[in-house]
Amino acid sequence: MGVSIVDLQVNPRIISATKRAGLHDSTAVLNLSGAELERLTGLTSSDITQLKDAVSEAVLGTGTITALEIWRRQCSEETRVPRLSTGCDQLDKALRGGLLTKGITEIVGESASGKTQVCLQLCLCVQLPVKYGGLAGGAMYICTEGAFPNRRLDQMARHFTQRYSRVTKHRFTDQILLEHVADFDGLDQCLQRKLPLALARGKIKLVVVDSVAALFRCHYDNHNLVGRAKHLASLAMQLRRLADQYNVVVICVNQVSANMSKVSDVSSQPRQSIPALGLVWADHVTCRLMMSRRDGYVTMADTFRENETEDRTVDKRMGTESQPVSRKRLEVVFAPHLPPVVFPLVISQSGIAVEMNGLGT
Amino acid sequence: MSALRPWMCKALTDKVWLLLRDANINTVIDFVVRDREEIARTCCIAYKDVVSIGRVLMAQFSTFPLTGLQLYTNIMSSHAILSTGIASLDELLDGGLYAGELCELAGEAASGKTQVCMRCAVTVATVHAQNTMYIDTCGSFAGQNTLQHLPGAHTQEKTTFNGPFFVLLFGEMVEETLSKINCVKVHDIYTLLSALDDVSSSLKTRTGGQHGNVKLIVVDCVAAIFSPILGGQQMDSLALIEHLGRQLKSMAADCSVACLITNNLTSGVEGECQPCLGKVWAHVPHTRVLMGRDSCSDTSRKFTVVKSVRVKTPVTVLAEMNPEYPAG
Amino acid sequence: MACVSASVAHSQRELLTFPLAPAIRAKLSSAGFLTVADLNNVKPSQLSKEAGIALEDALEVVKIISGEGKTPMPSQSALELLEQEQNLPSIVTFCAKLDGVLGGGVTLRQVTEICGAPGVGKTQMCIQLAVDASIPEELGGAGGEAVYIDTEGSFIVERVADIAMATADHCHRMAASADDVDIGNYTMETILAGIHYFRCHDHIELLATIHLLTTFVQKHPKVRVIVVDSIAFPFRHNFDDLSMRTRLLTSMAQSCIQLATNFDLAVSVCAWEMMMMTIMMMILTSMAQSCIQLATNFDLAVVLTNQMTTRFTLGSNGSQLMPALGESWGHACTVRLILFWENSQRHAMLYKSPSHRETTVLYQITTGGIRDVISRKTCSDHEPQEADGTESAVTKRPRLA
Repeated sequence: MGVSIVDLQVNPRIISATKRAGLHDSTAVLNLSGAELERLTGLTSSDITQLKDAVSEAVLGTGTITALEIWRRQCSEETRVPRLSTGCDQLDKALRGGLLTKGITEIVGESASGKTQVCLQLCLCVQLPVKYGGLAGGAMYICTEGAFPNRRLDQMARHFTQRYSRVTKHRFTDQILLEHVADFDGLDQCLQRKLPLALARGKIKLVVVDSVAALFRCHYDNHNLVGRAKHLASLAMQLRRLADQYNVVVICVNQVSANMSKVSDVSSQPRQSIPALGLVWADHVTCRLMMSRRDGYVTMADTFRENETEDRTVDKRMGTESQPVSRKRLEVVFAPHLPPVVFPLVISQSGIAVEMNGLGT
Repeated sequence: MSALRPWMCKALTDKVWLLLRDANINTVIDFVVRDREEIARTCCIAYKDVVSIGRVLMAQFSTFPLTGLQLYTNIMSSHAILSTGIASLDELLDGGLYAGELCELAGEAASGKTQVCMRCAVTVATVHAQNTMYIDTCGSFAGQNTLQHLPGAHTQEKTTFNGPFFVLLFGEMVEETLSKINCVKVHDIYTLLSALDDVSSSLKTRTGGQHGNVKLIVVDCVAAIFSPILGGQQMDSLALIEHLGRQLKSMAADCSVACLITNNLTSGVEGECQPCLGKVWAHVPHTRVLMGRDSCSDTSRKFTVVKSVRVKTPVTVLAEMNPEYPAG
Repeated sequence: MACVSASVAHSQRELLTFPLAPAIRAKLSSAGFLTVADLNNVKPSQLSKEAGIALEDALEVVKIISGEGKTPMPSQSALELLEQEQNLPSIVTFCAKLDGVLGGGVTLRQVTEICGAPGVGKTQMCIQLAVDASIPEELGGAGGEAVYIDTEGSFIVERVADIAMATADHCHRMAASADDVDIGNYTMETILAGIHYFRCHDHIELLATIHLLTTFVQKHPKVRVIVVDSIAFPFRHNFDDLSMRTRLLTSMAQSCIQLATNFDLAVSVCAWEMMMMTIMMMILTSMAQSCIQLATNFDLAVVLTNQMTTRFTLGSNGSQLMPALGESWGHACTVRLILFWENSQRHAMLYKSPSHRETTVLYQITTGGIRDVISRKTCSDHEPQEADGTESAVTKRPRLA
């Protein structure tokens, strides 16, 4: 961890004194106050300033960039944030390109609100070439509750293959790694070992944890809130670290719990149900998307009539005849780059899309 | 205590001095506490010389006894009680801030400590026409903020506090008052000590100037300056706390100025709030006032005296932070 | 060779109170040098011989004690400060009410902390302030640059561009409506070029960045605001497992406990936990001090964001939302602003300020950034005048005679 003291560009006298004091890397030096360093190393305060400057420069490495350079994409790969398409043009547009390859994106909602459906679709989208909004990589699906909806994935993948037949020929289901986790040990092991290994190979571009809430809610009771908070924070940190390091999209599915307090602390509207896991978790979430059910069904033909794009290589018309679809709602609760908006969604056999008729109502 | 130097007195020649050093007698204290005969024997110095050196040193470095009456007249001549500008706080402190004493104001974040300090500084400038030395360690002092503590400020609309109108209306008075408050911004303990040293030396030599006529020294806030160096193996910081306390006390007594110090309140082991810097510091202030928000009103504050030399403790009063200003 | 100068020669000030290296101080005191007066007329060569320290060190000691190369303490009267302040611009938030509460916007030379639950608009406020630091001086802005330190990874450049574009438009409109104001080439791109972005992944990087900021600000004298979004994140969530690895700390644990008992520092039951707290507090407070120092020395504003945490209180109504990082941190900032939701509206409460009373105002976040809550219809006509009003109130104040 950190930069070794030996590599610093300072007077060797300072380096040897620092080493003698048992400080071997940048972390150790920066954690101490100036006075403490003076005492440990026996150096004068001007030496310490030199040392700290050198250490700080070594830790930060390259120079700074301005927002304009990021805007014009004149920056390193690391600070650029590619987006992952959701597979629906309208939704992508509203989300300003799709989901961020940075931080944690949370999808929260009550049961049967379509969370898993969205995740599945993203698992397929991520495999598309960059030109079509994907990230040209595989997905890892970490499943903590129930069985993985294999058949549903198959069904969506078939539609997908058909839709993008002119773009890519590969089998969509091949690049989704599935990980079933039943308890905390399994989850920790998966996040600490398997996931970093898989990400290091560079094939995985999307990580889905479905869901984080399930394990935490049953494992900890109200008496061990501190333990729960710590565990939750370390899990979130690991996910964020990986997302930043490998530029992947991390999606966490969360459940809701009933809103007991009258104050709506983290949301714009006082609502019946609020995301589970509380503030500790919410502090780590970069974007929070909330899904809920709407009543009623529409037919397929209505929904996708206006959904055609100029891009003729992609056949957007998925279903041919009318089929019943269920209506959901997707709401951006918070995101650093998005206003809080609500989209009406429909879920059909082929996947999710914005309902055109419902938009704006 | 001072080091021994050659020629501090006639008998202390270079040769004698070197002999004493060899015997590890470096300071006046080292010399005085040893047995004279022993020194003469171990250092091979004539006993007569040792005794004469001893006599000169004792005369030079001992203090003079004072009678109670002298002490009393001294105190009475330099006695002063400075108003804090908040009537009920003055009452609580039996008149206000006493010259020669240290008063500590401890409170949680946002409890209004800085407000009280500024009020005091402004009151000392307007009512007593004395200068204030304001030592700001947490960057909260701004000229702008002192304006609203000026007498009459509360009667103005809030918007005119900062506006041109206010300055025009009270122009001369504002200028006169504000130039009586001197602010030093310090960020570490060493500069704080140097600043205090500057003030005390100019007060002692009565050179006047910027630090002349200082009657109140405000240190806001003392905890902020120590918390970066507390913890770890910094035993030095203990000594520095002790030293700051001693310097403030001796300054207050020697130059008969009042000291107002703010301190932070943080939760201790059992959850109850206590002032920072622990037991070492707790002995320093003569008067300790805890300050807190009042649950009933936004503008009033609760003051509790927990340590005092003249008031029965603990006593609590409620004070309005924007009170009617006492006339005069 | 220089001796201790005459002006300080007779001071009884103890050597303990000078920033000398502890080893040297120990040697000096064992050689009998305890106060400044003891060093009176002692030449460095003599000192090095008598105290048994290197000549270099002796020279250094004499230099420190005689205060050589150090500018004398700048003491200013409140009047001088007031005059300076009136010439300093503040950084407007574009929400006139909020500006009013803060006294014309975020004040330079002060540390302002913005606290709030996730999603309430901390980051938006930060971006807005970073952008607003660039408002031309002709319009009463600071006409400067900004440093943005991002610890959470929530700096999305598209959003910055949005706000910058709206700000540039707004300024051009204002310049057009006013006479003889020419803001020239003030565009979204010039605004973005003035925002220096630092990404810090953990507290070590944050410490390093803050340490180097002094040099950076010296090189970029136009920087008027330093934004840290957020200060809480690396300290709350990264701290313990990182420090666990720091071998050094284990040896410190013992003396920490000792110190904590002597000092009544926050001591919790678990020794390890306590140590973490002490060290974290130490780092945090020294960071706060360097922020304040930056703010005063370079006439710029420092804006920090903090997260909220739930504190359970016995007796009263259960739990309560509190700014994170504990009470000691609460003392460190000059201004504390808490953002929260109530009745589907965003509120900003000025919780702590040395100059203004506690107030709560409404604000909203639009595509263009932070704005006042005005009824939809009048929004577009009202906005320029409102903002214009505050800005002129801040800057067109006459100087004291």
